[in-house]
Amino acid sequence: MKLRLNHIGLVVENIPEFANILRSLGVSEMTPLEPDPIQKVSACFVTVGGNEHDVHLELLEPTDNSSPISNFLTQSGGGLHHLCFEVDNIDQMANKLTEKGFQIVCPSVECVGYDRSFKLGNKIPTRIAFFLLDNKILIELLQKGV
Amino acid sequence: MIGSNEMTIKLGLPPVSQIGVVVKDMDAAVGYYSSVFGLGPFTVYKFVPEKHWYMERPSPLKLKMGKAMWGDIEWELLQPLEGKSLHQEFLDKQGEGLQHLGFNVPDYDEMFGKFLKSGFKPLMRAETYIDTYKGYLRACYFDTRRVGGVIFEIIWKSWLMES
Repeated sequence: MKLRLNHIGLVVENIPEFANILRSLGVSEMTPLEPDPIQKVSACFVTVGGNEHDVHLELLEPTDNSSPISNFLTQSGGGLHHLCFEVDNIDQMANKLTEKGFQIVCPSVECVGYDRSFKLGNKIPTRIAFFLLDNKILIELLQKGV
Repeated sequence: MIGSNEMTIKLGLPPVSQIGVVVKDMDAAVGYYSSVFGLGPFTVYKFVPEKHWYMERPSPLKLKMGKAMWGDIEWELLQPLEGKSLHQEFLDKQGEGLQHLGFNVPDYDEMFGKFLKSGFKPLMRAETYIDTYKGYLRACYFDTRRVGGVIFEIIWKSWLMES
């Protein structure tokens, strides 16, 4: 199973504050904050290294207490949250992971925030799904929209 | 994108080059990532640095490390064996999981100074020869956790400088 790392998700208390930390380290390229009403988060992407093909960081902040990331923030204080892998066919890969016994956390749903962040202008939205590995690492699958 | 500035990028962090994962059992973790994701081959070795500081105090350390490349990213598995370490603290508090992001830097002293100047304190740092790679390593975890719980590590590897 070959997967290409697309981005690393970090849950933070306050995106603007964390953005300031990154700025102090010379990281300045960030997409505007985008709300994702399905995941109940605000998110932005950070380009570390200055090359659009480098693996991005996704900064995530819950928009209310029922957000899937609220518990993580409360329990751990935030931190490295998930790894996102880009796939050509999210349904096919989701089926493979399910067959291998991975716990599905969120089935395939639209993620228009990703499309808006990168100004993709696609007609069919990007789709994402979440799975949990045995050692508690959360994996996101992402199929870019077309 | 907003705030693009060539000078800022030149002075800033390089791309993420390493994801650090704390594990309880190296053999089980290597087997898991190899069989499920086809990752590998893994290079597994004991890391006993000649010089190691924990919270800026000299402190002995022994870790088991397992490394494999996932595209351009180094997937680093860390199993604490002996000594005070952030890895043992992480295991005790949260169990296994994603622990840090690493950045290979060409000029360690310059980036070390930049982190200090930005107000980040060193949590753990090590300097040592690594026989597995026939080269020297300098690395430091900085306390970048204050509003996000994420630890950033800067890493200098002599063998990358020579290639």
